[in-house]
Amino acid sequence: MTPQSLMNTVVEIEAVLSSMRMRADGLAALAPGDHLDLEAQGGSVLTVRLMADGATVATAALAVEDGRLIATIINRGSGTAGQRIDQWKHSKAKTTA
Amino acid sequence: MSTTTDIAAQSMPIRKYELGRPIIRREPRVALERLHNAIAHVWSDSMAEYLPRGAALEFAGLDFGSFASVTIDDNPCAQAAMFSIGSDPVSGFLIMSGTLAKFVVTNRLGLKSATDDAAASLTRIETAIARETIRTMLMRLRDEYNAAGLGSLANVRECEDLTDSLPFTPDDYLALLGFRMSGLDDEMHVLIGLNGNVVNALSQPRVDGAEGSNHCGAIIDAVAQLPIEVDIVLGSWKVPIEELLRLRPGDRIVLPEGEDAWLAARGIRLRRACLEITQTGARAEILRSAR
Repeated sequence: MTPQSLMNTVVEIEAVLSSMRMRADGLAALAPGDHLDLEAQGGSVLTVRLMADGATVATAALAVEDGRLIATIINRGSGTAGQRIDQWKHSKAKTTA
Repeated sequence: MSTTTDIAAQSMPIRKYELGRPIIRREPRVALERLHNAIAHVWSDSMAEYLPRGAALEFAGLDFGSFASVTIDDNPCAQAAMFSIGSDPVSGFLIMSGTLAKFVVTNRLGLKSATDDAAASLTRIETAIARETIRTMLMRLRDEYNAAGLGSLANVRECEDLTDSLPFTPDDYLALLGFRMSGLDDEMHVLIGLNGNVVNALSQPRVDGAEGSNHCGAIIDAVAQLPIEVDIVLGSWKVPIEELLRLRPGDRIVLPEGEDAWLAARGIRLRRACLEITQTGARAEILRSAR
């Protein structure tokens, strides 16, 4: 494979907003209508990891501008802080009688 | 005082079965491996500032062997603590290699040459910091073991001399769980040793109901309590590597709006979700599966 053809290779990028740790049974019990809420800690901005095949290729700050989600690249790779595990608050869907 | 074992340094070779070794079924083995994979992540997150740049503690593997197979080395900086788990005690120990302990301590003290004279003994202050590090690791271990239904850590004590302190005989059969620093030399490692009861503790989690008598159900229960790392993914798109390499700090990208987001574990999509980003955080609503 020539370098140029390597450069043209297409990879799939995923924008990962957050990672959390859940018990397997809690994960299995997630049902439509349930909510997970994340509060940015100490007023800090939300960040998003751009991942390719499980590896972080860049980290970006997230902002809503004119109704669009804009990611501004902070650093390439995962940075020195590494992956962060966030705490999400789970609330069950409200049932109607 | 220091202890190392070969399992922290290399992948597990295939060995002949030795008569007298207990039979370990696949389910509790997998459960133990998953649990300690999660522990490696937790430790790496909590110690990120003090570990070598860009490196993380990774789970190196599970092996079963006698206490006599755990080799003792001479590094005076190695740290060890003993503990028990749960009311039906599983005895265990946690050992941090001298090289890793020295690195973490010097890094925490903000000293420059964290690797110089790695074999020198720790000062009293350095020893206190090393022990505080071990205590922090044990706290994380306690949380993860608790979440997995193994029970809480108790009777924690630090060891001055490992060979004199351990309540194990040379023939005691142990689950040996090795951790190493990703991409670095094998001198930086951590080892957990648990006596064989841990397999029973995992197979028969303490449950209030009568289902504990169902062996298969008990294993399923144990696995159900294991922590799973879940990513919340806004969306995905395809891009040539060339374009990816041009990304620089300050570049701006318009992201998918989150209406077709999902929850994933190790790349496997688990649930669809609708994500709403606000000024103060984010909210994900779980959606009905498309299938």
